[in-house]
Amino acid sequence: MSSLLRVADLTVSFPDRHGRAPVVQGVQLSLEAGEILALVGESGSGKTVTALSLVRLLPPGATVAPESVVEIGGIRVLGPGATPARHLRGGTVGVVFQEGSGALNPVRRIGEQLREVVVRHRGVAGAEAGREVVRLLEEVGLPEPSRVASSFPHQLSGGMRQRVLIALALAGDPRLLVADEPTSALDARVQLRILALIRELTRTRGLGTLLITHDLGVVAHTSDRVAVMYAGRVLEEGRADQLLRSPGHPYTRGLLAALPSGRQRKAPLASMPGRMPPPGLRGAGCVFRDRCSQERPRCREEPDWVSLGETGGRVRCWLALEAEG
Amino acid sequence: MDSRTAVSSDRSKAPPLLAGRVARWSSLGGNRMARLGLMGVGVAAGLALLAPMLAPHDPMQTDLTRNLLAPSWDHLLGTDQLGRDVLSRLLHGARVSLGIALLSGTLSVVIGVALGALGGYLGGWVDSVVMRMVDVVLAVPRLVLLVTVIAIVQPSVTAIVLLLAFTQWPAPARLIRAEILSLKERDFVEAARALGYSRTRILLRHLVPNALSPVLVAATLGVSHTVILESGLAFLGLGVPLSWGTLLLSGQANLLTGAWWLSVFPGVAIALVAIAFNLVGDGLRDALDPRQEVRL
Amino acid sequence: MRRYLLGRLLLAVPLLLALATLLFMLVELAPGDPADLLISPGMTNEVREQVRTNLGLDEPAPVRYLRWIAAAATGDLGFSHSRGVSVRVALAQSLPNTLLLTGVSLVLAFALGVGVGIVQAVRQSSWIDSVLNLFVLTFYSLPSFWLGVILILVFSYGAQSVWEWPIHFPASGATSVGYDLMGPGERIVDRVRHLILPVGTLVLVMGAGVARYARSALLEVIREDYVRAARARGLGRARVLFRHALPNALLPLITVFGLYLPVLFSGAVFVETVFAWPGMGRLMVDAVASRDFPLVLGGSLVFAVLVVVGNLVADLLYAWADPRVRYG
Repeated sequence: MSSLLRVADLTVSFPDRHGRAPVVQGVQLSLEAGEILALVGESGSGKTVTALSLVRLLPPGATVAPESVVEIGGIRVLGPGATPARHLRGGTVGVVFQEGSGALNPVRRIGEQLREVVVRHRGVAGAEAGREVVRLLEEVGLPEPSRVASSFPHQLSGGMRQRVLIALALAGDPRLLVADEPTSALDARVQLRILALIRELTRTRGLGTLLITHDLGVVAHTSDRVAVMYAGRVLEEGRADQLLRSPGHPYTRGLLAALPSGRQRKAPLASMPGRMPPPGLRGAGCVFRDRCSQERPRCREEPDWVSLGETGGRVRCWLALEAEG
Repeated sequence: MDSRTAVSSDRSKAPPLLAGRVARWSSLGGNRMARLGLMGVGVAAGLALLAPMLAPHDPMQTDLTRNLLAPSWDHLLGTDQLGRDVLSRLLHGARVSLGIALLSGTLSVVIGVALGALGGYLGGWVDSVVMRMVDVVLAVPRLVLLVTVIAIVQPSVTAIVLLLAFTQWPAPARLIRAEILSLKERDFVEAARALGYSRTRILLRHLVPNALSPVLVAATLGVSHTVILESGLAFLGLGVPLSWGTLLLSGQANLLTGAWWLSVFPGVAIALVAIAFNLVGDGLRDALDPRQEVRL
Repeated sequence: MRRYLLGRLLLAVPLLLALATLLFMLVELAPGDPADLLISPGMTNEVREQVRTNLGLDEPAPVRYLRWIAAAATGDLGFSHSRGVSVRVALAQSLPNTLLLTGVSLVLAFALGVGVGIVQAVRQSSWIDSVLNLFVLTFYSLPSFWLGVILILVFSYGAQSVWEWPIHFPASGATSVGYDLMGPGERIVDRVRHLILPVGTLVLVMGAGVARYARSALLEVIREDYVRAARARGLGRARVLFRHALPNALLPLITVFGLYLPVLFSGAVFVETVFAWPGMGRLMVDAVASRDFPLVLGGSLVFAVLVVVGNLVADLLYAWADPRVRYG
């Protein structure tokens, strides 16, 4: 079976005082067309680095371990024999940046910024490119697309700018959409609409969407499957409904417990005691054991994947193995 | 990596004090170029201080039988049109040119910081008056103003120091005012106010020290600019004897006799000192605040 | 927009007035009587008084001040005794030369500086960056008047008399003797030849300053998210640089342009002196030397007007370049 996206053994290190410290370690993910996978984690969990390695936009100094595999549509995009990045970026993979992060150029009109991506990846020009720009703006639900196209970013509302950023990600007709915290800067009502839009686009265009978020509320609304990252590793993954209802990892349970009832989205994620160990100080064994209330002697060894029942969920925790057998 | 960690700066905390940041700089060893610059400044200052001991000849001793001599063992940098030793004149000139630049630089920082801090902190009409004064001084190119005024009052060390300072203070004033305007809204100032500290104490103990680093950077870079400007005035005939610019002026007068050493060496001296101060200034800026942009 | 412009120009009026007053007071304090310069020792006191009356020097200072201000407002800046023409004529003769010198230098300095800054920012921390840094720092630290002297020494004196190179450039003036007899083509060549060394001096010194700003502005912008985002959309390096990074990096450079005008004019004073360029700067220096105070005052005011207008142009450029800024 060939997934749209296959990530295996992805390890990315950054230089630090003592040499190199892995920020992402042995990450495995897979994603099918028409599916939304949420990659959930706190700041520093490595979720953004994971996303950036899909488009080979890691900051200078970052090194990817040779055994790492990233394949999109069966084609290797990272490591030896990878396809050239320019076709990958914006073409095969569209990245939705976060509104408010400054991902829109403030001194250029929306239409120009969209148009150059359309021209670059679709091989169209002139009036045809102009029509495509308007069509894209319509597709992301912006009223008066021609007016939006001739506007500068500061003339639009936050929600409109986020829609523009989605249109920009779609402009190269991608197969895979990577959305990095697409709604964190927006208020709740706008957030819901943007998430609905991403969901709809995933279905109608048959995209695979990787949704990077720290917010389990977003996960519940949007995604089909979830992968929970902590300290550079995926600790648990599974179907969203399953994972949210009966989480298998103590960390996931902690995250859910921190969510106030009513699923308020602005909730602080980590109200668990302790802090995530920084890269370079993540010794052997389970990375969560310092903060785990159920730590066992065995946790000093690195836990392996344990499948949870029939639903395809799995978890990296010795406790789950105990429970099973 | 995650953008939110980068912006989670704590607004309630006071930024580290200048002394702390300088210490951090020296503890990191600075960068190589900055250390080179510091060395250059040290050497220049040492040469200036020890000039009477180091100079091989009397800088004022004329000898018309030995004029316009090319560099030789006897006169390492040659002699001028009156037979005076160029090296000795350069060494003594360092006292004049560096002294004027450092004095006027210090004075301008004192005036600028005082006026800029008062304007920024008190606001209202005080601020308006200070800023209008800045506008007037900046309205005319500095050199034009200096040339005009020095021509009227006649050049002397005192006049040149004072005038350089009076035309330089707007730069530190604007920098410190801008810093204080942004600092005074910060929480640690609110906290100090809530604790009942007086306005003077808040200004002198909390605001000024925290706002000084861009001023320090600008002042260091300003020294190099002032060395050039002072020799420029002397080059236009509005300087004091022995200033490096005065030496250059006699160089230009003898340019077409082929006495290149009269023009080349003073200029090299000015340029080296300017480079040294610029290196130190750049190093300070990188150390104190990498994102700080220095204006003027 | 028009209201903004008008407001800005009106604001400049009290500024210029304050400056004029300040300068007038300074001239009043100046030792010596300007009339002395016009009078030979053999003249009688009667002639002397006549000269003073003609110059209006027998009236009290406040009266002369008001008279001067009122006349200046109508564009009459008095009579220049050193030139033997009215101040307005003397300034009008030299202003075009200064504008030519500074205008050409400004354009070339920004072109050179931005170009060097781009190369440095794109190749940050490479050997090219380091080498260019060394050049930039050196030229930034060179006195323009000294660089001018050295250029004369090498490309005029040395090239002509010592090494006898086929090409050398004139060391002084804006045109050669016999310019009036030349044909149009020759005139252009002659003008350009005279411009090369003074313009080269200003461009090297100022371009270095521009390069410092351009490099740091570009490095700042390259770290911005919209640049990273543009790369994530698969746009080429050149497109990201010229269409996304550069327009944003040029914005602070426009402000630098405004701040640079006084520096430029100061540089022009030196360069005009070194190269005997018949412009405003040399006029001022000569006027100071001959204690021709009406000319000194008039020249300072014209420089002040140039700075005010230049800053206004910089603000307008900024508003034009940055869609976020609108003046109501």
